[in-house]
Amino acid sequence: MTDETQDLLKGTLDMLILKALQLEPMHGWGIADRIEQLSRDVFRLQTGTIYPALHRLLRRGWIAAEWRTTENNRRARYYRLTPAGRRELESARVSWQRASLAINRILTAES
Amino acid sequence: MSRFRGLVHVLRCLLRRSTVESELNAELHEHFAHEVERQLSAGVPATEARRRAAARFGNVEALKEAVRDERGGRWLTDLVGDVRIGLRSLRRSPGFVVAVTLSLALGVGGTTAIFSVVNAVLLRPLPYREAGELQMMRVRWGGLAAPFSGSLSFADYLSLREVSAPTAEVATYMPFSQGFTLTTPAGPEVIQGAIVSTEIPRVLGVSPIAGPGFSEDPEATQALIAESLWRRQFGGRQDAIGRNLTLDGFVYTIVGVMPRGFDVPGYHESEAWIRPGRREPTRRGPFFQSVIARLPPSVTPAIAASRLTSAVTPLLRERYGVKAEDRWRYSLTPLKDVVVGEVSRTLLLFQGAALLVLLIAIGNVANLMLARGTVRSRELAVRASLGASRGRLIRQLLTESALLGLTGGALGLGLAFAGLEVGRRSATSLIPRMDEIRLDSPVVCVALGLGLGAGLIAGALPPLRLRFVRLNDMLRDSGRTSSEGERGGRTRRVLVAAEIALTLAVLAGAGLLLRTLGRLEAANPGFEAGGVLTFQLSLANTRYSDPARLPAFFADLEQRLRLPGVTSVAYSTSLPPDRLAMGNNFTLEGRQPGTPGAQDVAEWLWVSREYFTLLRIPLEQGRGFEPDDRPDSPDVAVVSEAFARRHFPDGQALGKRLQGGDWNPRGSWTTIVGVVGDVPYERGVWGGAQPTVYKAYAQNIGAGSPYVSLRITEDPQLLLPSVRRAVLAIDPELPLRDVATMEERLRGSTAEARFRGMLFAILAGLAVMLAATGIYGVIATHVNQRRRETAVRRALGARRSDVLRQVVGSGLRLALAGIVAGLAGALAIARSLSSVLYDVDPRDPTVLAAASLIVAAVAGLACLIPALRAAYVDPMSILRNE
Repeated sequence: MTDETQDLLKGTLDMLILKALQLEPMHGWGIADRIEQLSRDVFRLQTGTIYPALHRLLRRGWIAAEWRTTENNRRARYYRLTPAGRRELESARVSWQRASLAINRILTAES
Repeated sequence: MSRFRGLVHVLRCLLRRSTVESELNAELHEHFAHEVERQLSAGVPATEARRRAAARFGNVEALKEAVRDERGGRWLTDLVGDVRIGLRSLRRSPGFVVAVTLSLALGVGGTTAIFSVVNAVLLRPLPYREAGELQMMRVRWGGLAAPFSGSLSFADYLSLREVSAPTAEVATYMPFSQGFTLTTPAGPEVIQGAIVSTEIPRVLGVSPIAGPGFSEDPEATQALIAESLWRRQFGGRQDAIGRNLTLDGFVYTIVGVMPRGFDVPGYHESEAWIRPGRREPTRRGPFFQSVIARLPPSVTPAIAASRLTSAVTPLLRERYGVKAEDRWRYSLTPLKDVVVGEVSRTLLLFQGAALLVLLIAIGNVANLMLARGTVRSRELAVRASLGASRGRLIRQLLTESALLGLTGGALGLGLAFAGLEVGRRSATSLIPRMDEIRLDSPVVCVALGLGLGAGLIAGALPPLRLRFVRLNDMLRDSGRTSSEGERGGRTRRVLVAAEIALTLAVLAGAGLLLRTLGRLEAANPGFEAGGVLTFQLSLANTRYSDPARLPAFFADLEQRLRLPGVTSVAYSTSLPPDRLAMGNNFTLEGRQPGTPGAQDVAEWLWVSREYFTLLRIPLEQGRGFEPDDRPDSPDVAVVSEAFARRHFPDGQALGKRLQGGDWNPRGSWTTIVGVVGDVPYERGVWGGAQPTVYKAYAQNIGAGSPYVSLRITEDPQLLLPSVRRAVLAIDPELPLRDVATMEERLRGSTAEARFRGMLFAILAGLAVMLAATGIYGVIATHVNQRRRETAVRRALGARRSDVLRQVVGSGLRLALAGIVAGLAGALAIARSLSSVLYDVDPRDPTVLAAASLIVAAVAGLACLIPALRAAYVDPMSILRNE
């Protein structure tokens, strides 16, 4: 299960989910909603697509899941970051920033 | 930690599938509810809210699949699913399953049985420490008329012991083929054993399980005993060590018990390994010692041979008077090659034949799978149109094939071991190391691997065809029974023709070997075997050590053996067809050393006066031995025709003189007084007769182990008890050994050829059975598919015989194609068999014709049942049903 083969979008989605969970545990709908909000509605997800990603992250041990009661008294599956997930988010953030900086530099360079 | 957490997740998904699935459902449901709520709170009407939520969500089932993909272990759940589907679909067609697994079991069983022998005999190292370092030493003679190589002498061993370090470590042994007479409180018992040197346990790397082993004192007479003898005679008690063992009247001190399974190379029934007190030899010969050298990894056999030769030469010259003109040198052969010997060729032949049978089985199974694939094409097409990907369908088909293959492999393993149990009993004396065969992991892996491989190879055809056939064509087709698709039919016919070709090749091989056996049994051995009873006496005991008393012993024995029903009695040191005691080098008068071809070797026997007449060996020239040939009269010899032909091409052998053993200018000469017909002594009729020298027993009387032959008019079984009584009356401690009629000896000498023939015949039988079912399958399907056509033809006036002829004809055409291709294969097999054929041409036309006829007849018979079914079908009922 190597990460190198992940395409950019999948990798990006994983990183965004980890970011969304950074503050507090959330359920699936909440995560999708949060990503949309944070991106100021630039990313409009087919909200379902986060579920395969959540399972991928579970398999890697970056997040953990548990059933809890929601604010309006329903049962929902909450996901939270594990310490490994926190480390992964940090390293993903650093390498993303480095990459996006570089891409910016290329795109803005005067030829 | 994260890895562990992930693993727990994957395991949970695998093991608690239904819980995980219902969780996923609940979760998605919850998500959907949230989405709807948000739409509602934005003021969207209820139905529209649900529609929008659904649109944002995407395809639920596809999503679930994607989640399952991500969950991990997907391949495993798929595999479990495939296996489950496979088992279910196989359960629906038990006939197919039985046919496939039986075919595979037969093919794999034969191959595995022979592989387990190959593994034990050829592949596994000998049961000694670092057995690859062990070499057998031989001495090669350059000075003889024909190059000759033999074992070493005790003088060689003693000299080597002093100078072999650091090139090699040497040890020697001499198997005592006629066995030892063990004195026990319950009377004499014959046990097998060998005379060994002190270093044998160390050089072979096997230590005693009890006792200190041989001491370094060369004067002590000591024995190591086998675990079996230890338990039988001493109840496995420790105090057996230090006690005495009496063998052939000599006393040895027991110094150790060797572990079960230990023996000197090439033997496996010894129970005692004795080290007699050392006697210094006075000359270099006789050459009876098997000398083993353990080489350090840095020394190659060639280097070791030349180093040892040059190191030993001065010692041999100084002590034993070995001369430079003898032109001898050592050669080293890996011990395993010596032990395994010529068997490897036979075994590899068997392995090849068994693989051919396996190929036939694979052809058969491929055929069955193709036929089933045709029947199932509709099911597959439906599943494909319901969304199963082509890869998924192929995986499904291959899973089924793998299941069948593994089952066939497991059954084959069972068959192999049932067969080996039978074979072990009949082949122990023919194949060395047979006793080492066991069900070990390589054998199990080979059986299951072959089964799996065969299943997958055979199962690869239907999926390949699946690729080419358009699925909707398949759907359209399978509504009707007429067009199976000509391509499938052609593949199946080619497969069957190939099966027939392979069968013919194996059958021809079996035919050649059986014909060889027939020729061997019909061959004239040079003597008359009927009505001769033989046995061996061991006069090695101390009480026969005085040669002066022996003539009286022989006279007494002869007197007592002249029982009613016994017409003559003879003694000899060797017996035909394969009990040769010794060969000897000799010098012919007028060809003394210094002239080319000075010394040669011949089989060397001492025989009593009546030997030639008793065995009806024809006298060609001169005379046989007579009462006048006494110890005090001039030495005489009778030679065989082969000897006379080789040394006296002019036919003038009578009156010539020769001297046995090493050339001695002052030695006495033996005069040739007669020439007798050729008789094989070494390797039966197969080995052919070699030049032989017979000397008069009366002139060379000595102890040893003479054979006694009786020409009898009675049933040997009835006579034997009185013969035993007659011998015991002279000496109650003298057992009869190696008792057999001459006819039994002749049969025994062809046992190897018989074993080869029978094994090939069994393989050929398997091949024929498999090919017959293959042909039957193809023709039966063919008939089935053409039912309508046949019915129409019958309705239009075709006669039953026309239908019959057409079906059988199509089967025979297949057989003919197979036979033509198979003849080429048969010739190839025959060429590789040529070294084990006796008096049979590898291209023997009778064998090839007979094999072709058998194959054609079997093909015809296999077609007959479907042909009759086609001919006797009621055309109207079929046409009405359509």
